[in-house]
Amino acid sequence: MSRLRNKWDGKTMGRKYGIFWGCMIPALQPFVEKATRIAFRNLQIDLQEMPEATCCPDPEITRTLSYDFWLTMAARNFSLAEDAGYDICTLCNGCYDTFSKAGMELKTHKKYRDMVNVMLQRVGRTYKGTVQSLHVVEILHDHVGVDAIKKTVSRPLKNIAVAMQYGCRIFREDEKQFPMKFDALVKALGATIAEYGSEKLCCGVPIMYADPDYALQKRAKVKLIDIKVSRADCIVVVCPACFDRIERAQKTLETEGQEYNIPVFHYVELLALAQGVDPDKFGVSFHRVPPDDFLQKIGG
Amino acid sequence: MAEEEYPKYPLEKPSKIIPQAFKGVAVNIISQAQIQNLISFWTNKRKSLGLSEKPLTAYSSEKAVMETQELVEATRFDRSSNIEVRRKKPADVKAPK
Repeated sequence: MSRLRNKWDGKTMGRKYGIFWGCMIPALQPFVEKATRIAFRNLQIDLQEMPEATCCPDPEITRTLSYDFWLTMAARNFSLAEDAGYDICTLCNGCYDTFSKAGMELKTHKKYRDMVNVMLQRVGRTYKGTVQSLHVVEILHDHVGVDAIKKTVSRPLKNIAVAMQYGCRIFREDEKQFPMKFDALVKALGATIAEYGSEKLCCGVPIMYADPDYALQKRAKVKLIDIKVSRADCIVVVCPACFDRIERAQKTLETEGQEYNIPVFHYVELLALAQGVDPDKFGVSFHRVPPDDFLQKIGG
Repeated sequence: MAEEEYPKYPLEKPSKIIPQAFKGVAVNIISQAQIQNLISFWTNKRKSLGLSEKPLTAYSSEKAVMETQELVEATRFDRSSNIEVRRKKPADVKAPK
């Protein structure tokens, strides 16, 4: 650890981010939380807890049910970071979607700012609009930088072909650069990218609430078939919902006699592995799809 | 908001009837300020990884849950989603050790 710290003097040194864990990572994927803590420490990124953070709230159901509640809760989470004086780091495309859209609404429309502040007054808080929310891809690519990440890599992911699951929320018109940044971060670890054709297809999470079978058969399964054909060694995501859906889909399809066995990783896990971190240190064994072959291939 | 205010994201217009599949998420947000339930299987795994048993978010903050419930009432979220959940009261909050 100290060796890495001595080697690197990147732009984020001393910079603090409020880490927004969201709902899924701490409750279902603690291995992602642990990998983040280790990998970020290796990059000397200071993560500050947000102990009173709530759900972002989720961009599907809550926003559909009550736009006012959704905006107010997002503003409350922003106010926590404002009080502490740091930007928010998200590891989830859903949280990113909520914060970027809610942040835009609140900055653009005075009527929304006024509305949320009337509501927040009841709990003694104020939204000022002084902090922003950043996706982990933006922080690693734009603030830390690809070269600085490469400097922390001690176990390059040579001979590893990665299938990219970008997540549909990061393909928005105003964020065309996002997938390219994600690609660059994966290549920085020494891996190659396995093209499979349905990269832009949604994993199925938003449809899942209304029609689980459609979400499985017309979304996750389509991707898995394409990824299997591409002979990728693993799937990498930057969203815990995509992670959960793609893993669960494989287990469900397994009961129907369809074997995929393609391990899924959040990017921070691949980063930690490439930094030489022992996979047992962050709980890779808790994955639903065991990544044993993958780990053997990287010598982990 | 009026329907015409959703030109870019028409599917985000408010729903008049809450679909059954949405209820679990709405109930969890109102009752615990997070949509996922934290089960002992994962709290044990967290502990084994050296993480705090309960995440350092609303999962372990009664204050965050109470504030959420206050905002639920202020925005009438529970009424718009037609869900009744017992609110936490100050008496429910355990004093910190």
